[in-house]
Amino acid sequence: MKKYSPSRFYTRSFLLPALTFYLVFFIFPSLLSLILGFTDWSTYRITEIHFNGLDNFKMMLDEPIFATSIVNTFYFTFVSVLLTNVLGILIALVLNMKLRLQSLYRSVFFIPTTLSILVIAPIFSALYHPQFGPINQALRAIGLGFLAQEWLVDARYAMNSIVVMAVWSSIGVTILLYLAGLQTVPKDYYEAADIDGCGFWQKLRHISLPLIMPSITVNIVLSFVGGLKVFGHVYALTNGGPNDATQVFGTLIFKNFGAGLLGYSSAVGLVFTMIVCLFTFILIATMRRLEIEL
Amino acid sequence: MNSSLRKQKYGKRLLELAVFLIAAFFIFPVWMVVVNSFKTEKEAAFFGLGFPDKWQFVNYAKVFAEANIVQAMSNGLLLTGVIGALALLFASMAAFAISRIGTKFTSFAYYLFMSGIVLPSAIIPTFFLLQRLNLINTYTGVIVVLLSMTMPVSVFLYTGFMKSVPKELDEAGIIDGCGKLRLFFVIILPLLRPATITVMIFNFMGVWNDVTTQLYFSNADKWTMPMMVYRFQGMYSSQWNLIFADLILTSIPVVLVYMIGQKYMVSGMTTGAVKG
Repeated sequence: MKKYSPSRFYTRSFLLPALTFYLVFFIFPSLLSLILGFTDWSTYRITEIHFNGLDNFKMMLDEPIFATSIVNTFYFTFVSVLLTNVLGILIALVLNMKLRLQSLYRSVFFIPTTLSILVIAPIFSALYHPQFGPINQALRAIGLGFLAQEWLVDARYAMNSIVVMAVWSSIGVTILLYLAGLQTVPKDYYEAADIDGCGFWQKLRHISLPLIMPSITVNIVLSFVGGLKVFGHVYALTNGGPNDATQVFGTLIFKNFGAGLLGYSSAVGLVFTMIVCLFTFILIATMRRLEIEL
Repeated sequence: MNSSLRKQKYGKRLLELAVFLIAAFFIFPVWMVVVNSFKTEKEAAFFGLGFPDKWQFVNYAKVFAEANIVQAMSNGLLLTGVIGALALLFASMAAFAISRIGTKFTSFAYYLFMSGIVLPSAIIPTFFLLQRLNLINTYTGVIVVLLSMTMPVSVFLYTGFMKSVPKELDEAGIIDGCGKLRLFFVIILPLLRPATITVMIFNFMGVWNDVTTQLYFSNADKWTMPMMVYRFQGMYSSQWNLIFADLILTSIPVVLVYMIGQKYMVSGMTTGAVKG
């Protein structure tokens, strides 16, 4: 009998097609931004590219819109991660209780995640319509007309309005992953807890949460990364307005791209990439520690 | 004992009602779109939730005629078809090598792919690259960029699922005289069906609904349906009945794909994501 040796069955060349495309069109551009971010490349002189040292980065610090975008991106991320995960866990807990119509509910919550953000944004523009939008009409109908707002035009509410749309559009995946996690929890744990007279919150705190910690980590990290990378939501609903109140990194890069400042937007992209990597790294490390502690 | 049991049953009823209300509230925007897409322009302007006075099926005919539906749909099918096929082929092969060989090189490749889940795509340098390759505003340009963007999640899902396929099968195949290629394509790949379907659905949705790549790298004649919706909305900003009809036409393909693949998707997604 011949000895088992992987090289006879498998070949590394299977990695070649995937790796080639991924390296050339995804990794290489990321590295390229380390060069382009230090140049004055622009659409006006598309073939003449000169290094301009740290000019792009100085410009970022001088522009208030840059700081605004950082603050807005993190605000959007923090609030949407929190809402998506808290609501996601609660809905998943209830759906895990074997109710009637369970599979229908699962589809109901999942369907928005199949839709393009460019389809969802017009729906929310209609919902938020100041005069005839269902939200303001409903508020007026129940005598709370004073709460009716210009949801997308008023700088105080625009970002939160986008957050609500983001939660609606993405909570389906979160619920699905939490449900999968909950299904791995053995039923007898809950039965034992019932016998000991534990209530809903105690079971949640001492059984469900610790045991679905891996799902929590996956969900929080995914929604965090997705939140920082937000672009379509803002682009389609407010395009950064009113008055930069909803300007985020994604739209800032697009804005400078539109203005022809290619070197500068590469630099913004570079800073953005570093921020995303750094904070995701910190988040993952924190979640790992939490997983052990619970 | 008896009363506490009854209380529990009562509680469950109450919970069922609560979930029903939440789900109804959650799905009502979709209802608003559906009923208003059959109304006249005037009636739809109020976003009422009741049925139309008179069903205006003509809205759909109008959208079909004016929103470049056919062009956008064929663009979408071309992009999703080519990228979908290549992505599942490339990703499954890569995942097979990663999960079976297990050397330093393959695990490095795996982590390199995984870093793409976190790393934002460097859009302007990609623009630079495509420009040098003369691929701006071509189908090829959009295809190569989206294809490479689908790799991380596709490889992740396949690698996770591959763990549930026993290695003994490979050995049996080899003993029966399969070559390296036949072993994978004839024996292994068919066993990965739940993962394949999940990857296909994800990539279909990702490409069909893509915003960034098309917005930066191609013009309207090569856009998919959701991108055209955005344009259509700009041109018919007050005719909500037509906008809503366009939204529905645009969403039918993705929702159909999801419904068909749904029952495979949960297992394909969760074996990879939760146990992996």
